[in-house]
Amino acid sequence: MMTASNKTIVIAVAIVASLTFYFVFSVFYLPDYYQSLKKPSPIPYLSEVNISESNIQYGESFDIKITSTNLGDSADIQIVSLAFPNLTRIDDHVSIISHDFRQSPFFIEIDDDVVSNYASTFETIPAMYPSLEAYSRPWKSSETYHIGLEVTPDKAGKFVIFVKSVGLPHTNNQSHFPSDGLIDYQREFVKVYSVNVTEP
Amino acid sequence: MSSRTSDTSSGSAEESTQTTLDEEKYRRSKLKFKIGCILISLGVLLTLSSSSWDITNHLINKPETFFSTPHLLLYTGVGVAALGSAIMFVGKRSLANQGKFKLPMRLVIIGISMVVIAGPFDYTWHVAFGLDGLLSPSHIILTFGLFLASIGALFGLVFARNYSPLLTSQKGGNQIEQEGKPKQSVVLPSMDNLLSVIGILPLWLTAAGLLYMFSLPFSDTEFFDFNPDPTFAAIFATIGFPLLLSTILYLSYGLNYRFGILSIAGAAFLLINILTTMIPNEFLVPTISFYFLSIIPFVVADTILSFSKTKSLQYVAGGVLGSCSFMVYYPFITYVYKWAFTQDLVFPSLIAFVYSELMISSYSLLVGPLIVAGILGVVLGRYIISHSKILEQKIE
Repeated sequence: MMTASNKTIVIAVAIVASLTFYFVFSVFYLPDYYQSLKKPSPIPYLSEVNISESNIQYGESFDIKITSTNLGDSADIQIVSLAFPNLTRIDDHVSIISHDFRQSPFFIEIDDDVVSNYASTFETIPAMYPSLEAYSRPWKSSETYHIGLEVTPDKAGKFVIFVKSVGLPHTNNQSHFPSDGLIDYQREFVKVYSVNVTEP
Repeated sequence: MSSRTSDTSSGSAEESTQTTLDEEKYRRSKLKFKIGCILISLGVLLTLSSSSWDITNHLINKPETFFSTPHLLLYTGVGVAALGSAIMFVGKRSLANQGKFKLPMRLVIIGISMVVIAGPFDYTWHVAFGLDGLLSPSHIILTFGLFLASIGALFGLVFARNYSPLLTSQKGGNQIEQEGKPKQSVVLPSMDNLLSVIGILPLWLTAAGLLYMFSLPFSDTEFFDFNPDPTFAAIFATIGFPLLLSTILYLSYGLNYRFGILSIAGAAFLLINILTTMIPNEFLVPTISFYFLSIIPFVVADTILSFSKTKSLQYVAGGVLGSCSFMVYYPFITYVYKWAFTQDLVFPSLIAFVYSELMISSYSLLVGPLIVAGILGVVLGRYIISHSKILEQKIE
């Protein structure tokens, strides 16, 4: 039969052993294990950028249709950005015809705060020209989203459109699309499209 | 037998019948009162669990409408708590010695009134300023109201447990430790033990909710920036969370003096956190087994408190609980310290990485203050138990 003092010793040993196991696992083993795991890597891809007209007359409109997908791991957020360097305001000249993103796309006007260099932090810079951001939060692996816009240029000449997509967390060079080409004021790669706008 | 003797026995029979009727009436009233308290506790529990899910939902899905499933459950919880307060009130009206139940009833009425006011205020705030952050005037009113209601419901459950309407002496297990030695002869029915867990959990969750409001950086919105100062948030969390954990779990032990209740309360808290913050985030699911390991310090603290009645060992139990608070409040605690160290937010998919970085780099610095705060939690728990008993006796 176990005496009271033996019982105390057994309990004390069990307590010390349990706490040792707990702290070794929680403080040393598991953090190292989680650090060794592969970080999720979203791979955004613009599978379709369709511009309805390559030449229009001033006062006319053209349509843009974009299809974007995520070829990598689930992203917490994936963004499709369309920028219009020729415009000074966006809301009078760009309208959203349709979209199936999880959240509502939004316009960015000149001087609005935007992040740069694929960063996720609060470090922001002022926008140099108007743009539109469509995003899904989350954007699961292999999911595809679409957006259609109607654009009316505000003057004649070459009307330029910058398109890019960024997956967050931005864990490597695959987390943005395109991966080369022109770099915009946010120090991020963009694909460039244009429409000739002629005087009537 | 004389007629006089006969009259006396007839009177005794009448008195006996009357006493039986009174006992039945009081038993029913007490049952109503207890059901009211239980409904309030369950309602607050549902509200706070849904709030936790709602925070996770905002982090992962950024809902754009007020009408989401977590919000629906949150306000269902409010409805259940409001119904509970009405039943509690009906039960209290019929109870003898009503003075004893005034305090819990008042706390519940004030708390539920605040919650009911907070609902439309919250909706109006959403309409006026868009989706709000964690800390907003309406959320403060809501959470503080739930906090008061959960204290009232817990007091109600404890007072009702110790209340015997037709006896002058009170019975029950809520006895103060006499020089650190609780009376082990008092054994409660298991249902009362479980009820105390149901009473304790909402109090724990509402208090944790208040701490989160002043430490999580989720309150910077389009119109208002209520985010806490990062240094303040870190200090506040380092003291507040272990203090709360230790106090609440000591109370769960001290209200029953039975092994197992502290562990059940702790396990229930872990389970609620797993259901509301980890399962909705696919990237946290692999860390559930790590998280549930925190049942170990709960069982250890439970064992220490149950098998040793010395003050110093109770403080050891508090220190053990305090030291594990960094693990128990995972995953949200990650945001607090990341915000403090880098003023940056954490992507939901990277929580486990960032948390493990913090564990490696900072836990050794935090563990001292966590232990001290855990010990203070036991001091506070002992103080609350002794004073609630004194309060109960004064009311009588």
